[in-house]
Amino acid sequence: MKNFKPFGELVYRSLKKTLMIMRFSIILLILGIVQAHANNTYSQKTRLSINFSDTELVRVLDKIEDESEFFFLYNEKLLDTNRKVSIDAKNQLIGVVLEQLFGGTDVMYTIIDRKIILAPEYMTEQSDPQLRIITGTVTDRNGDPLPGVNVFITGTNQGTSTNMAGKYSINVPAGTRSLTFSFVGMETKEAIIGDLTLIDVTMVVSSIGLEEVLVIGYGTVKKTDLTGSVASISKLAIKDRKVTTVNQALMGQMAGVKVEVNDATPGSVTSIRIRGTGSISAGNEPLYVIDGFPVGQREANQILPSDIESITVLKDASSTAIYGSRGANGVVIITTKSGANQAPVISFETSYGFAKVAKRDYYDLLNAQEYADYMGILRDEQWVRAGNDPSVPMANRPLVYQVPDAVKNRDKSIDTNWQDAIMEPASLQNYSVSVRGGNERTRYFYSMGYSGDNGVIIGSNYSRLTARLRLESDLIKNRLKAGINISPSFSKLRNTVTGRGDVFSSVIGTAIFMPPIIPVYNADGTYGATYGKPGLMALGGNPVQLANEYENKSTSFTNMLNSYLDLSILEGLNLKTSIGTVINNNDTQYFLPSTCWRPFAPPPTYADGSSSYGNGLNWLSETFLTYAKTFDLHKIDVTAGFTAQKDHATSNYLYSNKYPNNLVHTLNAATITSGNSNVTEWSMLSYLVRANYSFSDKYLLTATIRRDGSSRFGANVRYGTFPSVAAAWRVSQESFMENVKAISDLKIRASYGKTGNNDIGNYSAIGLVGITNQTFGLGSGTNYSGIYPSTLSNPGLSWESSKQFDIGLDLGLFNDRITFIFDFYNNHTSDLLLRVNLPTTTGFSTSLQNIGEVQNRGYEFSLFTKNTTGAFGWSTNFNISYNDNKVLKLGPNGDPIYDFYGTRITAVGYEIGASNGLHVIGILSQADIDAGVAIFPGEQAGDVKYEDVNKDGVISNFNGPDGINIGNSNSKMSFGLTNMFTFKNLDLTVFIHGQTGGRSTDLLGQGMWGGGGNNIWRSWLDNRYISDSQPGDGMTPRLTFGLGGLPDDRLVQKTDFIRIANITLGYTIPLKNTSVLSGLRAYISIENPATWDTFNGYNPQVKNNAQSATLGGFTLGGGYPLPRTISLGLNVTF
Amino acid sequence: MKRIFQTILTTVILLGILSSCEKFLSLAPVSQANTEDFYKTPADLDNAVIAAYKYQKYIFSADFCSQHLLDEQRSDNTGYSNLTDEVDNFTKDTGKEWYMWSWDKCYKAIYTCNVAIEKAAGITMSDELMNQYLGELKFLRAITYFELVRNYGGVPLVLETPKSLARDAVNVSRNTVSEVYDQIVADLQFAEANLPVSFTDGKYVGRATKGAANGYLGKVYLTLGKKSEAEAALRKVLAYGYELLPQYADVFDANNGNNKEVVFELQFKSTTDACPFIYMFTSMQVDVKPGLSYNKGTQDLFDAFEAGDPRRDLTMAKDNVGLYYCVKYKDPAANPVSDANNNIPLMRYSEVLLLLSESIGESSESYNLINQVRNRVGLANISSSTPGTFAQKLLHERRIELAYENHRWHDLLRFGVAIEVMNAFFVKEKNGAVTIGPDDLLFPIPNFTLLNNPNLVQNPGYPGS
Repeated sequence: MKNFKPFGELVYRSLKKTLMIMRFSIILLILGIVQAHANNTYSQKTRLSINFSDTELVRVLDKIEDESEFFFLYNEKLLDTNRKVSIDAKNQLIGVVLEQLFGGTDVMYTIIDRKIILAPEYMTEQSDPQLRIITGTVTDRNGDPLPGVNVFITGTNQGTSTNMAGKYSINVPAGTRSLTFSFVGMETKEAIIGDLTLIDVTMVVSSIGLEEVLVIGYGTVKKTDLTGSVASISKLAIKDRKVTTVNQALMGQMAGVKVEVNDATPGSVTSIRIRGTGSISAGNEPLYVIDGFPVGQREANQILPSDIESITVLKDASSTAIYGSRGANGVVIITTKSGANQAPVISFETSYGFAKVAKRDYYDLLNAQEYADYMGILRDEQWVRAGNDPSVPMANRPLVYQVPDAVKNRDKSIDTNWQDAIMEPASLQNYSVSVRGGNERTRYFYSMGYSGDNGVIIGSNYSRLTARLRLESDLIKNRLKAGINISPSFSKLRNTVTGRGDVFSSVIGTAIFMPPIIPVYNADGTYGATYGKPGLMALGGNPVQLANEYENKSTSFTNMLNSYLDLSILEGLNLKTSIGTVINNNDTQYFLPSTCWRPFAPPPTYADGSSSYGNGLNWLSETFLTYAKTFDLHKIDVTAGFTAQKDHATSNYLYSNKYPNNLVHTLNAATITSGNSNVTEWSMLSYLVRANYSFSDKYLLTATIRRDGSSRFGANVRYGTFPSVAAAWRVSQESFMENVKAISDLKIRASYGKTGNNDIGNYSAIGLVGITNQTFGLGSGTNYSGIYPSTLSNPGLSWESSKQFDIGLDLGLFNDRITFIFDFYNNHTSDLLLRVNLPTTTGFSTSLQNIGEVQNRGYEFSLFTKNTTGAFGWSTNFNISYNDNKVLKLGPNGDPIYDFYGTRITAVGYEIGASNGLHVIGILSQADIDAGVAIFPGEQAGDVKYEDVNKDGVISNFNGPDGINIGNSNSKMSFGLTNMFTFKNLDLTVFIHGQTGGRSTDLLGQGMWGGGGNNIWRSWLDNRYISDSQPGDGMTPRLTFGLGGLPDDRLVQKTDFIRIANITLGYTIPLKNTSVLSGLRAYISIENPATWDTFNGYNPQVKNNAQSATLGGFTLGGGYPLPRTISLGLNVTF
Repeated sequence: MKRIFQTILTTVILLGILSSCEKFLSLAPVSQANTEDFYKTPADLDNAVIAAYKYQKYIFSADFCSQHLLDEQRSDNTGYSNLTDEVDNFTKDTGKEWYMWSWDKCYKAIYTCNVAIEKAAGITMSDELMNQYLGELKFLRAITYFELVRNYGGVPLVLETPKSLARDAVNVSRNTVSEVYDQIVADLQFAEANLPVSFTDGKYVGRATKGAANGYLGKVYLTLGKKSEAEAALRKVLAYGYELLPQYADVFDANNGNNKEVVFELQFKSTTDACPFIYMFTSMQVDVKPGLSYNKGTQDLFDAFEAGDPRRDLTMAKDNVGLYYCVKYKDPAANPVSDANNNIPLMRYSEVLLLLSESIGESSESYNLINQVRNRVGLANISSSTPGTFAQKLLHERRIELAYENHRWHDLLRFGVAIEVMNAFFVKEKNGAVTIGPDDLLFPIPNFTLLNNPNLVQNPGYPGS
């Protein structure tokens, strides 16, 4: 270090450091994040030829590093790397080489696999009586041993590192206070020595590490080298969550990644929206890639959460364009755990919990007394309103103005809370066991798990059994390896019918409507009912009966299988080829007995049942070449490949409404009345290339291009090309930043690219022919088949196209104790697939065309801080995102698209799928009526006062000119906040998330019909207008027989909420070194302990149809409620 | 190393196979035939012709927009309907879906004919069969245009399937009335020349014949005022072996389809291809099998029957709330009532006799033709000495004999008496609340259709014209 190298020194140091960092990441790679291999006999097998004379030591070391996979760890202050050495080694083992270099010096060398640690001899002196030996094992929180962890005497560079079993042994001078354990990707940990000689350490994955390696499309990348916008979540964040599916665990965890729910049905399918909703009629679901296999959400939901190693979400076009025509909705990459070269580590995880719906989430409805009062008040007020004499006794009024007999003569002891009646506390169970291990040649990971949730609504339950095997073997050492991944899973769901579709056939809908004066069960044990009781909810049955007797049972089997060969052709050049399949089987059996109430028909009706069976086979073949090379300061890495994928799905459906009785529920007992069978296929052929280039680790450039051919695209546009480019500047690497100590990392990123959405249906481009029956012949005639074109061909039909621009900033402060990530994006989606009206003189009224345009624009902000380290650890992870969705263009005339009876509107200038209805500006007073304000025909004082939007003096119906956008369906802003605390062996995680800016319409209210005798929201009674002097809350109209009224914004509610979604408190039980166990942790996990919202209903997040862009913004009675869950769990590692 | 090379080789082969395989990406629907694979064989063409019958049938038989509903309600035979009040009352509302549906279904039927006519050119088959199929298709296209031109006037004449969906290609303009009729006549002449007199093969029975083509040709000529051409065409029909069934009721028997009196009718079969007449004609009130009653019979029609005419009670009855409804079509075996087996005639031999009488003009022969129809139901002969003009007598006989068969409104138009007859009827049955003039003789071009194609011009007297 005596040489004066004003500039070179800087470059040298930073380069050296970076190279070291790179190598550390390689360790991480080796340890199992990708299927590289570890081999601790490397040093005994690898031979080197080195010839130098009178050369600086550092150059020799560099040469060794270049020639082999060895790398050196040393402290530059303690090792004179400028010492001139001479060496002549031909085909020698590393030990011989090192002996030549360091023999006779004070430098000791230690070879651990490929890692060579150089240190002055005095550090490894063992005879000094002042020194004492401290040993121990370093593991991660799973109890898996961590090899290669640096163990230093705090404040010095003296140290060692752990071996393959995670064990270390270090000599410390007397008086040494503590040891520091550091490992790339883990939080550095300090352990006080005191009088201990055995110190076992558990290391925690750092929430962000500069050297973190992320799995991206067709490869991995160091986080520092990332040019695009990629969010990631580690297994720790979802580890103790008591959710059955991976998607549910992602809720609120990543900026720009929104999880949408239909409801909280156990095992239900959730949807992910990445950076908003880009498509109106095609799919909006991201592409899911599980261990490299592009699949659907369904397969993702079958994964055992504890099998997950990491999840990354590709957000911007430069990251997703490598997935071409499937990239426009973003990509969720799930990587499962793989084997490791280690003695088998067996982990057993179990948890058991209870779930219950919080009373505060219930709909606020009338109790029996209030209901009885309401029935009287309603009729009295109606009587007077109709201009009649209030003094006429009720008995003398027409029947319709009399309180129904069933109310008058009710049994006053009955006060049924129907919401209670349909709910039950649910139990949740999770068990999983996994084994991870391997040897030099073969590595494996095996797991098996069971999850069960018997649902908070009676009659619903879910269970899932999964297994996974990942196996990898070196066929030819360092040349060729082969692997296979198999993951079968089986799930069973009994679904209950919740608020979808027709509220009167829904368990929740009828539970809300059912009068509280009706008992669940009559004295004779039969179900309490309203039919036969005039004036009481003529339109619904007993929800408890429905929940018990409605059978809708599905079983689902999925098996993913993937096998690969990985060949190292030359150094840096690899060829990997894989073939995989996903097999799906689904079976759904439905039965509703004739004893159940059916819409508009009291029992006995008829029994009906159906059986649906589907199976699918999806296969994928991929071949890739990867090449990575570093020339001085230039680093390139190229991936090129081609893939072929094909999907074949068969479905069969049989239905009958002709059952002789209710005894046998399967269809063999019935006469089949309808059925069908269907086969669909799609195929895809793709070529892709990605090139990364970096200069001096400061300037990073990524370019990708993918060419997709798809059977879904019209014959004229069979192939689409999807390019992207991204650049990043690591400002913090610049020399002028050297003195800005506070900033440890600063990167500016920008990307632009084009992606596609091929979720347009399998045969949309192809004109289909339909078959119809036509009669000919004498007498009664005979049927003949007529065949006609049922849809138009559109050989120009293709993918929806997104062009996204992203600019981002990554900032690390104070040695990355504080990390910010900021992104702004603008995603312009065009060629949206819409049904365009055609003049019917063509023979068709619509044709599917690529025509619409939508824009999603937003900001994302993430913050990771390590607030405290040391004994009391506290770290925070916060993310917030804002997205603005706007329709720019629709069909040729720009006409809005209406859905769900006109209550949903998608119009230019607005968000997709907003609520359409009348805008309530108050309640009509008699003065308003006298002044002649605009009213809906027939309205009186006390009815709703609507805004006369077109100022024509009358209020039109909601789907007329006065109907406007009365609420955007999607929240504009959402956030997640996770605080993690550790103190000694205790750990505490609190996860909060929330959203704002969206609205949802509870169309159930439309069905609340005063004349129908159903129960109503309490607020409609309490806050109602009675007279001008008793105007109520000024927004609630008088009671009428037709309470529900028109679709207007009285039924629109804000979906804003803040929820403590999870609190987990864990205790890692200290173990003696002699214990057979290597790790033991117990925890308590509480899901959804508290929610703050203004929403009347079970869950503000619920969407009637979260999968649909246009049918999301409403519910029909809130759907399956979100329960509060308390679970106890235990994780044991052997 | 051997294994390495094997791997490389396998990969390269796989790469080669897949990348060269355009076929891999050309996946046709498995469970549904597509237009690329279809129209290859004579059997395919037969299927396409059968579908053309189906679509042509929808014009008359689909529920809300049935021509039986629209045209009958325009006339003095039926009225009422909570749904199609606008038709009955000649309101100027152009936004009503019934017009749109009717228009759309006519053009769908025309498209179904056009696509089969075009695709036939690429199919190898005997000329005779090919011409029969083309004759059927052109016949169906002609009678659809005949329906359109009488209801809407000069409509766009679309004789090809769209080759491009570009707006300027699909935004067609209206043709003149005479251009439409020229096409109708040309198509019917082709049909007349190429269709057989009758079919023996059961699968063809009920399809268009020389008789149907000449019958319609006669009617078209009459509509155009070309009486001698009409007479020539209609006289041919007399030679084809049709006859009046002895019993009027038997003509409409649900299980007596394509009987000797039928020249052309809509074919139905219960369960698989059921007759939807309940939508149009069956009372909502009758016994245990109510229909939907979009057409209510008028007192005027009831009163028009001569004393002792058995056709009155075979045509209409009063339900238990006192509304007239049609009993001409009924299927006692149908359960539910919508699952009926009835065929619905579009042209019967009795109409051919009356059309021929019309084309000949007042003469003993023409009275003789009318009397054949009257005698079948036991009514006395009429002659020139019977009160009323020949036209009045003929129109009366047509009204009675062909009630509820979708002729009355067009008869009133063809006889040139629609305004006068209807206004008199309105005075009688609607207290004169409705009166019509020359601008009411055509339906409006549906508003939605106009929005979709700005090149179309509204008929006079309607908003936007």
